[in-house]
Amino acid sequence: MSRTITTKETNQLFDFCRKHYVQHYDLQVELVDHLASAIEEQWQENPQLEFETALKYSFSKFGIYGFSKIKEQKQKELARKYNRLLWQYFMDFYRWPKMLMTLAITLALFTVLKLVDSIAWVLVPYFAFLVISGTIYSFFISPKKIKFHTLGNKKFMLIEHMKSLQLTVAVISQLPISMYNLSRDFGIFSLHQPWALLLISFCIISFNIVLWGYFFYIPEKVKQHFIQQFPEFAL
Amino acid sequence: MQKNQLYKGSLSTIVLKLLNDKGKMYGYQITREVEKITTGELVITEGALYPTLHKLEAKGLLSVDIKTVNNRPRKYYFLTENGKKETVNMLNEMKAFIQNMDVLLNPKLT
Repeated sequence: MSRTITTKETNQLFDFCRKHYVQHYDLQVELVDHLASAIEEQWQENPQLEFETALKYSFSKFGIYGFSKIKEQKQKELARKYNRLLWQYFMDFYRWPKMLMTLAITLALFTVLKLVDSIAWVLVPYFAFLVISGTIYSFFISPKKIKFHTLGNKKFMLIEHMKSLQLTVAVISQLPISMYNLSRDFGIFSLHQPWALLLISFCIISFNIVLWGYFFYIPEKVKQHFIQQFPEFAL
Repeated sequence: MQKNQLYKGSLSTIVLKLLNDKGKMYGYQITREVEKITTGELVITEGALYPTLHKLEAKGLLSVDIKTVNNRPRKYYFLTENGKKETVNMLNEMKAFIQNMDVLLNPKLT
């Protein structure tokens, strides 16, 4: 039986990752196992080899960039993954059969916009509604959406990504404030042409789908993926 | 160097094919297997392997499973249903590419 990495040495490897700026447990797990496997393989040939020497050699195989390239790439891929999911979620509303519902709502909104004297009667309350619901979401709903154990203060890239997404949502939900000024300055409130009203209806409905996706769909997906990978940390 | 570049462009295909043949594998095991099948021609650097794995995972072609081995957590990768379909596509593309290159390199004189 050849020598294997002890629990103490495993902890040393986790420390080693932290020292090399890998703070997220989901990435540390993989790098620690890689280093440990590489060290154990060296021990098969030379059981007397010092742990530190073997570690140094194994780490050198990561090249001059060390862990930094891997970390950067993983963050990028994670963002791409959830952007892709959001896009699919959005497109789903414009595919059969959901498309029927989306078009019906868009047409209903279009009809209302056509009936009122000025579309400001609809848009201003809508902007107000967005700001209020965005604020309620950011302060009350979002913090409760995902609850996790923070065992030994572990940080997860997936959760960090989720937090940064929620910051985006908070910013997006405040956009209507500037949209009000823009609408006034560009004379959108006095628009009456059917094509313009139809376009506005389409934009509002699409914006709401994206927002709904950010508010509820993506956090649900992140939670699902997290529980799948780290069931021991999820409540 | 040139040889390495050629292999690197096919790293995703190599990884998918390996997982297709072997089922579940972990990062270090994949590195060693790739070295073995390319008879050491391609010493796959860790800096290239993990981004490839993370990219394939983000695309939904791979899924992961974490198990405890030798007192430490180990992340295993395996093909998803989409991954299996994509492997077939990528291998077909690769075969077509090899055939075309063969025609290009060995033109039949008539």
